Amino acid sequence: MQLFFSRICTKIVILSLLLGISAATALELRPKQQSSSEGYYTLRWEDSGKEITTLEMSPSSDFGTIETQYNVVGMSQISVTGYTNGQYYFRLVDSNGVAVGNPASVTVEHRSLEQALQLFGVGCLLFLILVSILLFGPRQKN
Amino acid sequence: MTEVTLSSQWALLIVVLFGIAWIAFGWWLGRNNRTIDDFMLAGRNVGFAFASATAMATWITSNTTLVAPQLTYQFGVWGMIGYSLAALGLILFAPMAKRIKALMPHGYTCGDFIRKRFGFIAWLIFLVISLCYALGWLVSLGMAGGILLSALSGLNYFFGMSAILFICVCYTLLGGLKAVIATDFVQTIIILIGVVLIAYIGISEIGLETIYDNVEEKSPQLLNLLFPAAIMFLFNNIFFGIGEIFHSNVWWSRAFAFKENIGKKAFLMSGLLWLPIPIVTGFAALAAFSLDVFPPSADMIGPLIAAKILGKVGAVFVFIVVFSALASSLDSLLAATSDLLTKDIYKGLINKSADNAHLFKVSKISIVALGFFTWLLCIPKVATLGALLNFTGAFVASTIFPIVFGLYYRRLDGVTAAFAMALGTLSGLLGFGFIGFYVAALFSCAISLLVCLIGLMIKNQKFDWQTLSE
Repeated sequence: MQLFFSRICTKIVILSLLLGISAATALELRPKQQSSSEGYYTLRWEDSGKEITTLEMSPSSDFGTIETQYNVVGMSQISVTGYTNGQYYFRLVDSNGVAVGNPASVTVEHRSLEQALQLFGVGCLLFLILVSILLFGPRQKN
Repeated sequence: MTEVTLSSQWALLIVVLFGIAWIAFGWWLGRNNRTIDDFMLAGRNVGFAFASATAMATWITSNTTLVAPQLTYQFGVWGMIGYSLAALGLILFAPMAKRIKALMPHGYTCGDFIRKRFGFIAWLIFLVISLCYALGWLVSLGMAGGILLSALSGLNYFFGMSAILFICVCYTLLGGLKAVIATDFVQTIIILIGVVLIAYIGISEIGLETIYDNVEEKSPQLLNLLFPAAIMFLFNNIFFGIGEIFHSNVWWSRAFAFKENIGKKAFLMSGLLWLPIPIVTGFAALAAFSLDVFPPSADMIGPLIAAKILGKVGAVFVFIVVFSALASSLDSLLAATSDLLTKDIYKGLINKSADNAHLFKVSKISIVALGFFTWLLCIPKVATLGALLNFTGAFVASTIFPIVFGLYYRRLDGVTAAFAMALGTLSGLLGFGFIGFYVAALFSCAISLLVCLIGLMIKNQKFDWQTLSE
């Protein structure tokens, strides 16, 4: 009986270690692909046990040029912003400077300026109507 | 970056001291409350200084301390300017406050106006809009209290959220609107000093030129004045802010409570004083690129920057300022929503013969019930509540033109007003779903105006203004 439990426990320990190892290697930067119409977006990754220190951004998929490095020590998610139209690639880097996990790509395509200016015009018109009523509207009580 | 900067012992001490001070102050102010007018409307006798301070402090909320930096971080210069233009809500409410007081000298809630002016159906639609908005705002404030206290100190979310709700419920219950207005006055002074100090230290330590250069290099879109989503956001935020103020009983109760001829001046002054606050809090977000601080979630950028700039000692100050900002809005919303529940729901629908002494008791029970219900909804810490607040823009902006036409023109009838609010809300929700949160209020307001204009052309009701003063 004792031997049986001992074998079971050993199997559980081995299985846990294997799961632990597989969890550590399964670092995934998510979402792998996304698009943004506003130039801001969020990237997430699981706590893999590795010491992730930096998130690198490059305009090319081979990461030949690193344009921005974000300090992400102790984080598992980051909100980045202010991107112009284009395709951007991201990857996580550990404390030894080695890239870990998968790269992710984000396509930024801002909304049409024409559409934005039309809505701006509608907003201006509504605002003028509102102010006119408040300033020059009738004041009778009876 | 995500490490806490204030020890939990310090945070606990501040919360306990603040709690005791505010609750004792509330009891002292409310010891002479005898009638429902004393409790709900501070005896309808609030002077200029207190009136301006309460309007300003209530409008400085988790939105100003969290969302203004978030929107600057996401929309850049237009985000900062657009958010500060929410002050137009207060400024444009100034002439309306005078009109409201003149038309309804004995009024209690905005629901009173809608019911008398537009009838039962419009009143029901309005109540749904108003209660959805109030509940969304209350829950987001409770949650923001918990999240901020846990971000800046070692206190957990549940404790922070429960503490801020408990303190605000206690002093609102003991002192009524009088306590809300008086604590708002003190909180305004704390908030103003805090915001100015944080901005001064931030700019002097980092430098304007460094901030500009880093944003230009790392996030150039934030400086682009032709940033399409940000351009769309500008008027959307203005109408969201106007809708929030024009429809909400938080502001109507103040219009009723302020002395004759005080409302207009007080709202104008509070709007002008509020205008630069989001510029200052929003500007802090642009320092993220110089300080190498990037948040896990965009709405955490404000406190993270403040804690980074000010360090451990400064975190105490940030903690007090944020706590004051949250409390000043939470208490006002508790008081105003309980008025709406007491006068509109209880007296209007459940017990029409209830006298003032009975309503006084119901008002107090409503505050406790509302606080408890908010606490229950805050516990799960639903992450989408921030989005829910923006979602309410579709609701509140639909009420702007029905209320304004209803106050100034006799022609607008109840059916048109009901349709304007319902169709406006629907189109705002469609805009929210198909384009983004930054067009919901604009769509809602535009369709609501269109329906009002059609109604004004088709019908010619001759409303008797005297009905409102009865």
